[in-house]
Amino acid sequence: MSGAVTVDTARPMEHNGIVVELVGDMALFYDRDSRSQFVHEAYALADPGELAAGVALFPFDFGVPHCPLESYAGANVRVRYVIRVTIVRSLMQSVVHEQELWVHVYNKPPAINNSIKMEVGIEESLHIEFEYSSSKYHLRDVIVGKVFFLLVRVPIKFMELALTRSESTGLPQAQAYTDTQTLAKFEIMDGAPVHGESVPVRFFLGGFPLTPTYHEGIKIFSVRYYLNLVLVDATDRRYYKQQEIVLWRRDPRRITRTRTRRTRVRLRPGSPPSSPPPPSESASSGRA
Amino acid sequence: MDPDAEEQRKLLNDASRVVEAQAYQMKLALDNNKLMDALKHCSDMLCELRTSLLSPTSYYSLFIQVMDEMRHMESHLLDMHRQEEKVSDLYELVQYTGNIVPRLYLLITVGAVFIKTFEAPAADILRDLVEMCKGVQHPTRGLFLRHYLSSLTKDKLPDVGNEYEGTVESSINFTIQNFTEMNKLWVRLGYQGALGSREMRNKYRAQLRQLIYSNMERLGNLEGVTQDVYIENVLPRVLEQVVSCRDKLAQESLTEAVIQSFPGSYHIATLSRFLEAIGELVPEVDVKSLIVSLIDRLAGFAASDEGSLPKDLDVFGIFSSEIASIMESREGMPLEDVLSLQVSLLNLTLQCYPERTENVDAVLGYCGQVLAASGVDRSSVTPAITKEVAKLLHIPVDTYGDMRTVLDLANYKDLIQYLGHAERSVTAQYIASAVLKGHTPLATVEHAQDLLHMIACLLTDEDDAPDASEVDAEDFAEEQTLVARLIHLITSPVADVQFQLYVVSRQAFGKGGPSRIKYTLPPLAFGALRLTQRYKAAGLAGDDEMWEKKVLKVFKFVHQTITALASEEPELGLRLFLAAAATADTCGLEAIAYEFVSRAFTIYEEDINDNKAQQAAMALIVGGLQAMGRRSLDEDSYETAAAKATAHSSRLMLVSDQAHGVCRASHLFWTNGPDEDSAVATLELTPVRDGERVLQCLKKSLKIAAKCMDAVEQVGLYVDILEECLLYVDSGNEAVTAKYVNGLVQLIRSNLGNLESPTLPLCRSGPTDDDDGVWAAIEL
Repeated sequence: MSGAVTVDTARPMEHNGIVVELVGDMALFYDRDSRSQFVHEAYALADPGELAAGVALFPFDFGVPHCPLESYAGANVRVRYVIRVTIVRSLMQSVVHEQELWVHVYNKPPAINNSIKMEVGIEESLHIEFEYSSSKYHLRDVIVGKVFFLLVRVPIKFMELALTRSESTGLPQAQAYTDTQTLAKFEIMDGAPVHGESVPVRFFLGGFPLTPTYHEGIKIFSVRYYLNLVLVDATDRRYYKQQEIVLWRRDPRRITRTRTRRTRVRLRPGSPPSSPPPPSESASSGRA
Repeated sequence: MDPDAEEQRKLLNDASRVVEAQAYQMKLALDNNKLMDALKHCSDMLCELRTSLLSPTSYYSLFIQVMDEMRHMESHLLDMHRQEEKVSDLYELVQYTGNIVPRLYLLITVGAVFIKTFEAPAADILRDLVEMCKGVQHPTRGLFLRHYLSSLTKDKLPDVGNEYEGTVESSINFTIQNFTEMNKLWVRLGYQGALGSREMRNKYRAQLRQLIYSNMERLGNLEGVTQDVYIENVLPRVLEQVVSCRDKLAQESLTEAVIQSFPGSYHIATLSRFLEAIGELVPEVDVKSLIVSLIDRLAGFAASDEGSLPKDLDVFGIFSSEIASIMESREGMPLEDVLSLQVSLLNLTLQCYPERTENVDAVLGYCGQVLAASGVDRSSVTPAITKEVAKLLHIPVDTYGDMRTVLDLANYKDLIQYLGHAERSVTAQYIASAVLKGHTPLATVEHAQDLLHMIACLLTDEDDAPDASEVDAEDFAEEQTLVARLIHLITSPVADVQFQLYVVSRQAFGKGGPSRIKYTLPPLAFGALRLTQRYKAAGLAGDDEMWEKKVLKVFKFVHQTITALASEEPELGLRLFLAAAATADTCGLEAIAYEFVSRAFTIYEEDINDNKAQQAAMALIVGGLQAMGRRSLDEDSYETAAAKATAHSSRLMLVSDQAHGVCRASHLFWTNGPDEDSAVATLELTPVRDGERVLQCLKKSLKIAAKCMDAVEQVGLYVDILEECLLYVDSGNEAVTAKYVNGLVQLIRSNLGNLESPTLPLCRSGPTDDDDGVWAAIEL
């Protein structure tokens, strides 16, 4: 992480040093005391002295800093990174400028990635078995699966997948707040199947504002994603089964997967064409 | 108006208007190159196809409208490709569409463009599309979606002769999978959905039949579907689906589609398998129509130029055994359907294997067994069964033309017993006409017996025959005339056989009762009489030493025949006896000739009571006797007969008849010598020349005429007698003297004077050239 600080002053200015800091902090919106810094790196760009009038350039370089968390802006919690430049002055107020960064953390591909396979049902009325190709997906992955209908005695109207994010804040036992948000609803079946039918599932994730899954990030919050398979019958009764899926961020520079002919057709994921990821305000960096 | 229909119209209108508006926006966006906007409007438009409110008919209209609009999108996407813009991401992009129905329509559209532009291997896209379409399980929506898939890809299937990437097999897989899914949805349409009654649903389904059909056509149109591929890869899978769907309508339609979509040679190669599959269809299926359709297709194929049946394959045998096993497995199959199937089979073998009559016989035999086992008989037979049995009987007749071939079919004859009387009679007449039309003489006793057996209902009153009063006399006459004509075709060049033929016919005809024998026995009698001539000719030529004995036998037969007839139809009998007598006479059989003559007299005496009939009969007897003269009859016999005839003539009822009769009888005593031209001139013909007896007759006649009370009539009689006299004078009868003639003329003249009006009474016969003088004599 590197850059340069440009100071433009009309008059000569005395100072007690110029400092650049990299700060990563996390805050719960409803609890001011909860703010905590988990990254703080700083070094002096200039020793105390005087700045001449005009433009001065101070390059800085933090190398590859350790950023355990991604930037995150949720319902109740925020994780942010800032570069803070302070021109320390003794008599007058110090000049402080902050620039927020958006940090992505690339994860290693999961070592174990089992498929999700499950049979669910209600006695004597509806039995299905569904299968998702894996339990862990990167953010631009595609969920591929199948739903088998073993018993259908209710007049199904349609079936959909709902992708939900559940953000929990606070210590798990004490005053946990959980915010659940439905990010996408995706119809995967129209009409009523009969016994023996199987319906394919193909759900591209790339188009939605997703983040990787956090399991009790720094013990204060967690973000989990769920895939909810919902069947709705003619009387609008809903039958559903929720499954957690783990999301991870893939290093886009490392797409070295074997490209089969099929990938030309892009049945497998690639970059989504026009759906931007969460807002990124500045250059991001990550670990190699 | 039907409130439902009104409602439907309104719903359709609303939907249609949305489609129009969205399509407009879509095209606008496309024109401005705003693809994202265009896709959004396109998707909104397609959302109208998510409706559950429309009936299939209305849904179809909407679908067509949407499909039209989708062409704009398709062609725009193709243009984009031409402008070298990258469209491949679209395949993923459209899959973000939240609703499945518009999503899949878009996916199919983009997928089709991809194949067309060779940007992606056709086989992969097709496999993906057909799989993804499983997401729509709603019968109507699913069917139309898959139909859209099928229509958009129909010209993009990898095949021999095009460059789309993929094997023919992939195209087959694609088509069969789509077909299978469509069929499942279609079957489901009959059980699900708010389409009202079951009946209503099946009506709707029938309207959608073409959607399913088209898949079979696609397969049939693939160049790469060769016969081997069809056998290995297509038929088994199609049949599996057809059999497993267990739905009557689907099984019928699809089997029919298979029959129609693939060439005849393919069917021949897979005949057993195909028929077995038909046997596995659900019991309600009209198996008969399917097999009939298949048979017709094969028969058509065999008849066409391109195809002939392979020599090493017994198509008929396969059909017949498979059909038999299908029958076994379907106990409830209506008898008429069983028979109808056999009719088709019959047509098949007649068209494909015309020379193999044993096939025909096998079919007929099977039908006979089935009928026998069913317990149906002529009284309980239904119109439907009747129709089929009649076909079984008529078709061989039509095909072979020669009835001998037909009659050689062992199992043919008994089938007619299952027809009701009316139909049996029609069929019998049909057969009889065929014999006549074919001019094929039935020369063996077996054939004759068979034929007579077949037309038995025309020959006798069978137990189920309608009451005589119900029969139209004209029709009856026509029918019997037909039978009578048959005798002329029951002929053999061998005289002995011919006689047997007549005996057989006689036995059959003899049971016909009075109303029939008057038609049927006379030709038989005449035929037999002709036969005597054949024997005689053979005998004279030295070919048959036994001829006289045989002739005797024939005459005995004739005698019996005529006797049988005479008891019912005395006048006819009398004529026939006379004809027989004449024939016997030419053969020189005195005793027989005399017997026949006396039989004629007996009939006259016992059975002919009417005046006119008596008069006419006596004229015949006299004429007959006179013609025979004394060829074979000896003097005594002739004398007796002549005397008897004269006596009877004088005892006729009316005076005028008596006078004429006696006058005519006079000729019995003045017969001609051998005629130069006569064929029978070989036998010596002794002329009878008894002038005195002639004169006696004339005198007696005159005496009778004298008793006549009507003056005008009396003069007429006198003139007639005078004419006879002149005839004798001419032929040299010296007993009739000029004096006598003059006396007669005198008598006439005086009588004429007494008449009130001098009109010349009518003469019985007009003047002839050679009696000018006589006319002069009686002119006043």
